Amino acid sequence: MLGRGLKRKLSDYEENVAGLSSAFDSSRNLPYPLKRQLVLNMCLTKLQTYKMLVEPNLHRSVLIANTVRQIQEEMRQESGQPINVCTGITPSSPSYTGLESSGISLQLPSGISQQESNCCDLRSAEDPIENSLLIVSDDDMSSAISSILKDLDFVEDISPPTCLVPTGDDQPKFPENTGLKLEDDRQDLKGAECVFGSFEISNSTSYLKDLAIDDIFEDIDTSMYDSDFCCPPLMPPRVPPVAAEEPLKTFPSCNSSSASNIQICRTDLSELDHIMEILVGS
Amino acid sequence: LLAGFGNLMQDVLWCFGQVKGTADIGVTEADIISTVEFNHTGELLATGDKGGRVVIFQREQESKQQPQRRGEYNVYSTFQSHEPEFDYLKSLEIEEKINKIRWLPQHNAACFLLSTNDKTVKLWKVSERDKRPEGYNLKDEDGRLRDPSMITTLRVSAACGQRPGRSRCSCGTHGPRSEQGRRWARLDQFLCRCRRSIYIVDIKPANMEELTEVITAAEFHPHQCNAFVYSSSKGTIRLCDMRAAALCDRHAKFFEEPEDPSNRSFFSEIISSISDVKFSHSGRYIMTRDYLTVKVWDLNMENRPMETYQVHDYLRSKLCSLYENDCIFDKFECVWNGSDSVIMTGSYNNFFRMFDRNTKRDVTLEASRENSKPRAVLKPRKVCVGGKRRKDEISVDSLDFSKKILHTAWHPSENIIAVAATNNLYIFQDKVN
Repeated sequence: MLGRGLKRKLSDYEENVAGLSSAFDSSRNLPYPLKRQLVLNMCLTKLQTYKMLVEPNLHRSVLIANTVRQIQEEMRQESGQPINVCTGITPSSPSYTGLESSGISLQLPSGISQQESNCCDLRSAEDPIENSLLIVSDDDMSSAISSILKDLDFVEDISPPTCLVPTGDDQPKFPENTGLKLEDDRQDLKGAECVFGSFEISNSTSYLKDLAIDDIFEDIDTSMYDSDFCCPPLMPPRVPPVAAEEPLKTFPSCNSSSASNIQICRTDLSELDHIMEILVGS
Repeated sequence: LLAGFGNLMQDVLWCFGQVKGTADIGVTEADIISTVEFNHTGELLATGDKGGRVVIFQREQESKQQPQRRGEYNVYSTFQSHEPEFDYLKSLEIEEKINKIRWLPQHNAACFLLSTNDKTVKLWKVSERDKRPEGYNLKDEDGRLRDPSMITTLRVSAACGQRPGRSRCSCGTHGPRSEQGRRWARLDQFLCRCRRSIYIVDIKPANMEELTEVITAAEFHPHQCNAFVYSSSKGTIRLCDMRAAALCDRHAKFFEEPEDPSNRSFFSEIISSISDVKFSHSGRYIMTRDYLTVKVWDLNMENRPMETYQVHDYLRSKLCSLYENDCIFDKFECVWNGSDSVIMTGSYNNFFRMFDRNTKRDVTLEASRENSKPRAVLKPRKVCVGGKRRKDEISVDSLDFSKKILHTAWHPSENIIAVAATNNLYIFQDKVN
């Protein structure tokens, strides 16, 4: 996905950042605005990386977004006005345009201008620390955070999936509340305090003794496990290097797992057939 | 009198008991242990891993011939609990990693446990078959006896007749735990939900862009089935009572410690995020774990914790590096011992820490293959913070941050602990004199 050139530049960038983080941690001489800028850049890079992930982590994204907001707020208060785009990137960094295309619009002017800025005072192009910093605008940060959180909304939408793992019966079991949407639930809740009336609320610690959990399993047929020859012959487990260990991970999983695998494959195949039929128009 | 129960921590010498898992250097991701849990008697110990498997260990009966060998834990059952799923609608893979296992109290010969991944909570029944194979490898299909010297392969029958229980498709990032069985909380980062899919707590804002806080952990009260706590990414804990309202948006109690201004940094909020919350066995206290500390809270005191223990404060000066490599987001768990007098949590370099709440003493121990000789006493470890490093001390920069102990468990009544170190499970116990 990423071009090799971009990958190399990004890994150089990452190395720089690693060096910068240790500098941040160990040096007392780094000026505060520089430290703050470094943290901000790390945050934005992380948010951007998460955006590219198939399933971004909500917890981390929220924490990082909060850190960005906090820094934003601090900068805003110091300057008294929204921070404008300023310079800091060496002209020979076309690799960063790759970052632009991935959704977060970091404005990266080429060349170093003498523009007045409210953020850190960057001077020479020779200073490696300053040159690897990205400086972005206030609006860009807000829009970056917003777009990431909006995406997470889609990801986190609650709709119970259908079970793929079959139970004792042949048919897959559907959850009791298929199709309930978030809004519907809220509607139900508003007038439905009595819904808790159906719960047996009890302070008794012997609650579980009354509960017949076994009943849930009544319909499951375990007769196949009564036969001694239910398992195909197994290879002896690999002998572990240390005698004290047990080769628990080499112990092949039971019939139920392989049965379910086969079942899943069968489902997939029939779905595929169905799709093919539609495509071919037969 | 159960050995070791209620002893002061300094009187306890921890010894190596067993280690499970391979010593191979290359670790398969699927083998990484993601949860550890003793059952209510301590006879059974369950682990879940990233590959969606559950392994149950059973403690062997103690033998009178060898009283110094406390009952060993051996594999009782292994099964595939969760499979990876693909949500076609959202083009998302749903991880099969087992986030939590919780045992139901045992009432008959069968045992029940709950296991959960990110999306599905499952109830399992583990029971043994009545029939036991006899002479299994010594008879062929026709029942004739075989000559033992001619047997070249060994066959093993399915050890236990475990079958998947009915899947409850209410999902959670944290597994459920409830003494009350039927009602278990589904938790994801927005809300808690009961078995009948009622939202108990919902902190999702109408506009996602305003989201600043997520739920990180939750647990039911051990005795009061209507009460539960949940923790947040902002370091707060809320105690809720389900009798008060259907939707527990309003908490009954709100626990938060005021921030210490002298420790303020860019990472203050991140390190205040609570990764685990656990009620004490007594139900009077809650313990929380954030990145650098463990705190014990009295349910009657909301404005600050009763006790704060520093797990690895030397990391405070390394926060930027730990943020850069994402270690700052590691979710450590914490556990109580059976008498609520000692608490334990993990750290890096395969270290884990115990704190005695009465004497205020603490100890750092290490789960490593080097200390894995039978009944070898674990030597306390020490991290050198600065200045001259003594022999046997390890400097902060030498710590291996890829070796993290996130999951531990303490036997409900004895000094036996299970410590998960990546793909290995260590069992330690106190020295029997």
